[in-house]
Amino acid sequence: MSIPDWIILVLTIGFILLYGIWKSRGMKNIESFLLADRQMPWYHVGLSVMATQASAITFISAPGQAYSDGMRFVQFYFGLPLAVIVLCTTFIPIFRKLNVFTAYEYLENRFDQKTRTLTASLFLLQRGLSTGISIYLPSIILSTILKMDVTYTTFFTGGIVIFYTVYGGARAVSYTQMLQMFIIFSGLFMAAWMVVHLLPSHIGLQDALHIAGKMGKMNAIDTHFDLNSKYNIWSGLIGGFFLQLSYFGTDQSQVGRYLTGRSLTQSRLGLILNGFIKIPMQFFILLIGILVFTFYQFQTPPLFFNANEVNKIEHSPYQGQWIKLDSAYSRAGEVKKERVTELVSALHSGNRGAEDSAQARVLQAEFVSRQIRSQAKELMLKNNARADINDSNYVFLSFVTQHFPVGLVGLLIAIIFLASMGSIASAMNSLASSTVIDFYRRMIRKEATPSVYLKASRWSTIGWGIFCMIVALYANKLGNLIEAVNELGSLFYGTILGIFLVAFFLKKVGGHAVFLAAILSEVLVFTAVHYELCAYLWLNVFACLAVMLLALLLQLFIPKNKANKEPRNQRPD
Amino acid sequence: MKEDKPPFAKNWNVLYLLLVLALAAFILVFNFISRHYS
Repeated sequence: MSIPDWIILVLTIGFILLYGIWKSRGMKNIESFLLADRQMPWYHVGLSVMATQASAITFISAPGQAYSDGMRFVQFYFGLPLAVIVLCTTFIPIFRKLNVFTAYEYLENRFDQKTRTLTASLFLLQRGLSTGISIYLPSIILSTILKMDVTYTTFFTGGIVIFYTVYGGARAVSYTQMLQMFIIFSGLFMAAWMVVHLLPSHIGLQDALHIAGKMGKMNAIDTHFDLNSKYNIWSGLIGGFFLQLSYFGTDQSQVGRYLTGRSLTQSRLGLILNGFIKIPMQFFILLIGILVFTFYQFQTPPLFFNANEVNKIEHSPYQGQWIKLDSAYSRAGEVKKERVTELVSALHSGNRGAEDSAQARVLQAEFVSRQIRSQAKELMLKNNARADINDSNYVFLSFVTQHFPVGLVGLLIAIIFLASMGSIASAMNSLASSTVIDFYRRMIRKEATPSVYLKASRWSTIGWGIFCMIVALYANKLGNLIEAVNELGSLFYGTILGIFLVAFFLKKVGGHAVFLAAILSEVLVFTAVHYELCAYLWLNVFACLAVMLLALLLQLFIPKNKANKEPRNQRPD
Repeated sequence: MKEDKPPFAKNWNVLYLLLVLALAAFILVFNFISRHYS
């Protein structure tokens, strides 16, 4: 990276962090630290909710996902608008009415302490692991541009986020996230414009999309029902609905964001804003990945996008074989370029027969390139059995650093960094909320001054920060990270959602029954994953239904424990 | 609760309906794009 890029990177990140810290000065209690005094307007809530979900993974892994797997990932978000409707009519009014800090407080009200503790524990485990994965990504960005070992950059990134979250709490998170989202949106438009600009002069946007389509990448909608297909319209609408409902309704990292809203209306509007914007935004990000794919049809991409792994094999006994594969890949790239150019001519001629035969020739050239890449990956594994052979997380990063002009590289890296900071800070804040409210205040120190809880929240943030950094050190084995995070979430989300839906809708079911049902459902989920019974999105549906059905069934045999019928902490409004 | 009216619509159901319509529109547009460019 050039010096102007470094200056832009440091200034952008420094300005945002100082702004957040300045805005969050004068905090005296956990209401401020965890929920920003519940004073945020709807657009703050909405942008904060979006920024929490949009980590660096969204901006780095999603284009890589589109590059390797096409547009079909967009279907993952189809359940979101439907989930928002259920959240606005059910979850948010209940949480606000009971004036809770965490979603899990409600469960003790409705069931008992053990159900609250179990659900909060599932959340902490899942969110702690996911946040660790989220820290890994900005660390590999830094490691790529600084050419430094990822272990050091993980500690550096984790350290910055911990400091900022411990000092600023929810208010710093919320204020900086709003600013971040504006910068992120402008950065995305710049990136899209730049990708189109970098295409050869005779290739317009239409041609670029046609080329990607002919190579099977414009597969945004798949109507074929298949339980084992990861993304189709059904898994997106049904599985996605359950996953998003669980994520926004029961994951404290999101519940904590919309509870910062000034009123019920502001919280609702914030989520509805997200429901409208998320799908087109995600489509747009994936489309950037598709355009990067088309760009690399006219310019041979690196044989492998992860420069660190390439560096390792180039300094190994397999160097000779690697160089041979690299030149074979360049030759294959040249052949593909010629054939893609022929395809464009065929498309312009409007001759269907010529189009089809040109398409077949392009696909054949693509197959040859892919074969060479597979051989390269095998060679990397031969050299080092622990080599990370999935480079889809590096596609966009490699493209930006190699082809974007000076200045824009620094700005885009800053944007990716800010996106990570926002979502990691939110997650750490939520982990601290749940630890202090659901465990420390509930079990260890029931009565203490606000400053004691504030101190505990800060220490808890530090503890979770260290846990997440340790997880990040082991995250390089997980493949594409945007999938990894959602797959990990799907192991727990269905069960957690099931517990909440039983609480809301099955009034006859008590704590013992739902507690046992939740444990059985988790056993079923892990069995299904072990035997690969279905694609991960469906786990959310099955686990949620399993908790509800098992709870109803078990309730027939178990006497209902005495639940606390009167809601505590009733809000004045 | 006294605050139960959205600022941009008659009632919340209008906003929920708009969300569903937006989802349907996205699916139709994406389906058109998928088919047109394949």
